[in-house]
Amino acid sequence: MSADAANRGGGPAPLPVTVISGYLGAGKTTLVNRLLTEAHGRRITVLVNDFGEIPLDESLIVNRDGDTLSLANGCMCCSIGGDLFDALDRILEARPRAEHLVIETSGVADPAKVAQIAMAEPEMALALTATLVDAANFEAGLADPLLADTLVRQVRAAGLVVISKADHAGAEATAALAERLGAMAPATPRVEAAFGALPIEMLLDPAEAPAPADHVCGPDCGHDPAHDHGSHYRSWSWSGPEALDAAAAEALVAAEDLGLYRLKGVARTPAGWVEFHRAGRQSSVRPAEAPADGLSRAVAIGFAARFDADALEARWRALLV
Amino acid sequence: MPETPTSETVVYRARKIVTMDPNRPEATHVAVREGRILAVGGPDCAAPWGGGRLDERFGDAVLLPGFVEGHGHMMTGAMWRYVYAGDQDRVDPDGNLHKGMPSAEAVVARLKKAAADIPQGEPIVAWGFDPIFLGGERLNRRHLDEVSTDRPVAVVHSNFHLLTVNSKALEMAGYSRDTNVEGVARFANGEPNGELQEMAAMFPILRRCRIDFRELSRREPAVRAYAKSAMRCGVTTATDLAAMLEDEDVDGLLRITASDDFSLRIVPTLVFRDMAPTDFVARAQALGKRSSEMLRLGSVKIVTDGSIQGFTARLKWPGHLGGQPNGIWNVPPAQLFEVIEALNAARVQMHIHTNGDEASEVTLDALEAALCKSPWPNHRHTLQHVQMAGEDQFARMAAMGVCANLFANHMWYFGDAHYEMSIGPDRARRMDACRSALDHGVTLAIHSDTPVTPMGPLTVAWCAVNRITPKGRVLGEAQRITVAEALHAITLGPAKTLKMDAEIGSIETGKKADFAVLADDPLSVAPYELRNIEVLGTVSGGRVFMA
Repeated sequence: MSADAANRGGGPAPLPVTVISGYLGAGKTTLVNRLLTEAHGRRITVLVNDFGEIPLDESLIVNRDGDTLSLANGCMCCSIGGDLFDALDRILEARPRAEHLVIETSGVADPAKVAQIAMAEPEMALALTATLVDAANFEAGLADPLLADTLVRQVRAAGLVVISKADHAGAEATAALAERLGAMAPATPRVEAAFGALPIEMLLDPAEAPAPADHVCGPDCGHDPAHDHGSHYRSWSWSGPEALDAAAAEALVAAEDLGLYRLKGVARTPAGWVEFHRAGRQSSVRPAEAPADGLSRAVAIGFAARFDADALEARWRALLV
Repeated sequence: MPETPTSETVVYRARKIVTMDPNRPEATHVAVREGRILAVGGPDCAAPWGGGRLDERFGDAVLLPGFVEGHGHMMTGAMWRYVYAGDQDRVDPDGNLHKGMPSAEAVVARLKKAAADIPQGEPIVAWGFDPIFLGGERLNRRHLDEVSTDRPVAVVHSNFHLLTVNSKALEMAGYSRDTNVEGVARFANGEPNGELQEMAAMFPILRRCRIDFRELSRREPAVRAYAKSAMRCGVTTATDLAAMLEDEDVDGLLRITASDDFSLRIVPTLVFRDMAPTDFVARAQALGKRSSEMLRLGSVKIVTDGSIQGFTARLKWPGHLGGQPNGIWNVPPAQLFEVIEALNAARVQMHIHTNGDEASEVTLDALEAALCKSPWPNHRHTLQHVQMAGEDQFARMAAMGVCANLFANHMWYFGDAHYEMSIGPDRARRMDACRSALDHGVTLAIHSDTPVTPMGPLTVAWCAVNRITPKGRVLGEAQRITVAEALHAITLGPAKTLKMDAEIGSIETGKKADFAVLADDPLSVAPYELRNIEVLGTVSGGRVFMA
């Protein structure tokens, strides 16, 4: 790679990144297998510690090359090998570049540290940090003084907590766990998932989940802006020629009180174009190239039970200058 | 040029030979044949073997067993590709002295000078920088903009966790006042000041400047530089204690280390990463079959926690002095039990990194469980760093036959920081408790963890003997050891931790002719002068390498 090619503006659009964390047995491998093999129509690259652990259907594998498995559907599975940063560099250099990168962290990793990489690197954009919590064993882990702080750290770093194995644990234990998680990370959305029930877009980029009609909803399209994108979440979007107040926009992107879960977009500000991302509790704003049509645009999503799209709309309008 | 070992018997006369062999602690002559020690004693020691040619080149020197660096990293050899920016004088692998720089301004002047020799378009990269030892304004992008405004300038700090860059590099990474990334340090006005903390914030710069020490350290120049650096401090056997050891790496290492002009026995240990224990065992065993005279394979490294100075070690109560959260596990404790059991059952020797006392405790629990299940006399599993172990943990190590390789250099390099900031006076005073280890009968080695601190066994020994900090504290007088004990801990001690004590670590008949050639006698100089003894070179398998 030449230094210039990696410079901002010269390269392809940032690679969206989902970080998947969770202690041993929380179901990360099952989830990764699903991301690699399900018909989601995207070329996903999954970065794992060791692909020997993933029960991939051999018939799907079209090529093996050292640390990389290529699948018939265009997905790839890479093992970290010696060093996470080397592996990320390889993935960013690969052409064609993946459409989405999923990083499976080790059972004791602090996912916030991995998420920071995606936030810092201009060629990556953090879509989500999801922490899987094993409903059947999480309480026991919290009772282990060697582990408790690690598990709490993983939950606090998450933009989405996925409660797995609720069927094993039973309704009562799962409810108690939900309460526990709520106390640990009050602003973080949780979903219970036997995995079949979790829409894959929620893990990749919920803001890109297909709308039921073949268009992107906006405030003027006549659709109910709170319409259903699956029972879990609702979306909001906006586009227009106006410029935004940069500082106020940064504050709104980071707002904790709207039930906002994912927000992304590009906007003109008096100081130039910026792109902004909100993923769970982390947000970033950074300089960007102007889009060809000169329009600012934003799309957001939140959980149906929490996300106040009307409030977001009102506060967004107030940003326009 | 080194000399090829022959069947000829050469009798070296020295001012003094410190053998570390209790049967003959001192001598004046050593006879060498076929790269090994034939006899030790006086002028006629070779007479019973038919005599030999007298060689007096070491007549004014003192010979010791070649030093053994039981915990170092090959990356040491990769650093000199870049400009040195540390505050201490340092000698490069080719023997050139690089003066330490006392201020940010001095670093800038050095970089300006170096920039002229670096091809246009290439980044200007420096290493070894440590702001805590410098006065004046902390190095920032304004300083480095004086070096260049149109090419990236990057100064890697000695701990590898921090990087200071110029405005051009910040621009390449897209860092501005709007950046919302942890670890991008700022001026009071909110603009990034050029200092980047931890890998996430450093990655965009390292990537764009193509700075990759790990990759560099796999190449032949780094391997050769590592050997030369080792020779300059008397080391004839050194570990590379956390290697990936891909097949092509091993091919290269076998070839390079076998050449006649190569002075270092290297012991690379395969590093454990998150994988099935059975697969890891199989990898280690396959590597063990590829060992050669100069390259020893088959043992492994497991990293359990982080570092004390980085607040990432796993500590027992009362934890960090400033109330920082406990550190990180690199391997989940449950998995640690599994992998230690599998390795021990397969008779694979382990070097296990444990910095904090909680990490040591859990590791000892896992070793005890594994050894109960599958007893292995003389396993020599070794805890590496094991800096916070107390009497209780040394007692357990002794009972199980676990060795300790203590990071004695911490006294000097981080001792004041531990006392004042990380863990407080009580535990700082008993850090790297060499006395306790020896009193419990634990096999003791001491190390530099180069490049974390510079390789130099005499300096490590000096630290263990004196336990003095830069601020003049004696950090735990009760844990001081004698010079003789410290010399053991840089020769036979580490040789035992590498299971090589039948071959190296002392000057006695049958062992390899591996010597450190010193200008003075460590047992005669004042203990405080230990680190000032000049190293003249080494003998490796009977071949002489002079600095």
